[in-house]
Formats: sequence, C-alpha cells, structure tokens
Amino acid sequence: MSAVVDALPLLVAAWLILAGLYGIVATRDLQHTVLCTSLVHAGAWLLLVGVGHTEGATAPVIDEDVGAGAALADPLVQALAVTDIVVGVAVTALLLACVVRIKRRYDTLDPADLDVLRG
Amino acid sequence: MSARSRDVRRRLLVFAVSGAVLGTALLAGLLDLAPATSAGSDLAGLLVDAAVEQRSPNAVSGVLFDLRATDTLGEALALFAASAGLQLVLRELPGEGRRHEPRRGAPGRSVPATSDAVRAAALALVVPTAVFAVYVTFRGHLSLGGGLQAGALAVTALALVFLAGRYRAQRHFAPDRQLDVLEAVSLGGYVLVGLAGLVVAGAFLTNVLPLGALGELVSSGTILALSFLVAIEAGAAVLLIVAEVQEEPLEREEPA
Repeated sequence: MSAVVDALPLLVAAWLILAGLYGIVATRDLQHTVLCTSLVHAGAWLLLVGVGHTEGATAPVIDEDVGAGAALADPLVQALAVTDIVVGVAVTALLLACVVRIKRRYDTLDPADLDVLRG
Repeated sequence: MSARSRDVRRRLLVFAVSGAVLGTALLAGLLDLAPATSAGSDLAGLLVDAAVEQRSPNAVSGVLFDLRATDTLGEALALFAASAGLQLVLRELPGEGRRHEPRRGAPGRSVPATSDAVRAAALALVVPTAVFAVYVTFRGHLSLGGGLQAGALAVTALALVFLAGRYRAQRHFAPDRQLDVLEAVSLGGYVLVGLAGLVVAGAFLTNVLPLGALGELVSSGTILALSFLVAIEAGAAVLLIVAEVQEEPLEREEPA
C-alpha cells in the first residue's frame, strides 16, 4: 500500500506534465497555451512535494505534538515548491499580458495568424 | 481551414513520437525513484535541526528565510519584475484603440448585477481574511504559514472587496502609487537586512538579530523580519498585477 501512496503523486505529476505538453502542441489558442504551461508547472511542483513526502510523515514543524523520532517531510523540497508556485504566478501573469497585447495589436488569438511581418 | 487542421495533425504526429519517448522515460525514472524519498533523510534532519537552532520551529520558514534567503530575495525580485513587466506590456500604445472602452455585452442584454448573496458573503469575509493574513504573517516561523502565503491572503481580502462590486473601495484601500512605494520599500528593506548581516557577521543575510526563545512570537531573528517584508512585497506585487488587469471599468451599478 505504501508503495502506491509514495508513487501516486509522482505518477500524477508525470500525467500533468505530459497532458500540458500535449495541450501546448495541439492548441490553436494562445490562452490555452498559457493554461497548458501552468499545467506543466503544476506537475513540476507536485513532483517536488511528492519526492519529499512519504506515508506517515508529518509537516516539518516542531511542536509539542511532534516527538523527536517522528517522521518529518523534507523541508527543502517544500520550500522549493513554495518558491516555485509564486514564480509560476508571476510567469503566468506576464504570459497572459503578452496574450492581451497580441489580441489588441493583431485581433487574433491563433498563433498561425501571427506569421505576417508588419513594419 | 483544412490546411490548418493538417498542420495540427502534423504537429500531433511529431508529438506522438517524441511524447511517447518522453513519457516512457519519465515513467521509468519516476517508478525507479518512487520507493526512495527524501523525507527523514539525513539532510532533512539537519535542516530541521538548523531551523530549531535559529529558533524557528517551522523548518520550511527556516529554509526559506535563512538557509535559502538569497534565493527568496531572487524570488521577491521576480515578483517585482513581473508586476513592472505587466505594466510595461499592457501600457497604451499610440494608434491603438482606446483601452477604456466600456465592455460591450450582446446587444439588448445588460450585465447581470452582483447578487445580494455574493455581495453579503464577500463583504462578511473581508475582515476575517485580512486578520488571518496578519496572523499567518506572524505565525510563519512558529507553525504553518509565512510571508508568501500571507501576501496571497492579503490579495484575497481585497479581491473579496472587488467581488462584492466595490471596485472603487478596493482602489481606495489599495491605490497604485502607495502599492508601488510599499513594494519598493519592502524589497529594499530585505536587502538592508541582508547588508546588516554582511556588516555584522561578514556574510549576506546572516541571522544577526537577537534570536529570542523557541516558540515565542518575537523570536527567530531575521527569519520573522524577512517573512514580514516578503508578505508586504508579495501582496503589493500581486495587487499591482490585479489592478493592472482591472483597468477596464466595469459596467455595473455601484451601491452608494
């Protein structure tokens, strides 16, 4: 059972990454492209948290309830995941701003329409 | 259009090959990794010990604001750059249509008003959310929480004001100019704390403030200070991003 619990976040992360990549390849709408980028990103931080966790481990916070020998999750990957999520928000916001700019300038969201050079 | 769908089909054909290879490699690697975990490893134990040594029972905050404080500074800078970049990308250019055109619905149909239930629930939640944001800021080194989460909560509180249809009230509580100042001052404060460590202890971002007692509200030295500054920075940066996107005026009646 514990093998399944330990492997499940990693499998879900792999699925998210592949599904996101498929979306980036298949879509013809820039909004979807940004959304699928976020999907790949979610897979990345789920992978981080999944690697640092094991069945029965608690959050790495020391208090009266946590004994000295308790199994704790890895604080390093959790800190990385926090950083990752925040930077992901920033990147997504910036990408969406670029999409808004393209829509305003060329009045289209299909990347195939963006192959015309304009002075 | 058929040429377009052919193009997509070609792309998918290429992706089917490369995606299959990538997926197989990914799954093989992950299943190989699965029994191993870094929880309870020597490094994780050392990190927890180091955090407790800095009077921060929450090891994640200990890592974020002490051991990896330089990286957190980089992350705060990334947020700062994102909010600045958004304003740069979305600025009005000459020759473009007016940006402040009111949103047009379908002809003959008006935008539905915010329902009273949404309005009441959102307004009722504003103050608890704001209080919770402050709580999470100052509990970050003791238990679950920290600056980044608190910043997100502060944004949520103002987003609730917006959700209740009080767009002007939201702008009143969070004017852009003051957000700009807050963002810059908190980021500068982070660097100053780092420089203090450089001057006193000879290394950037060393924990030089008095540590206090484990579990006290004011303890853990610079971890609490940096967490507080990051809360302000993250909140202000995301609010600036939100404000930039909200520029178009909403066609709805504001209650007086």
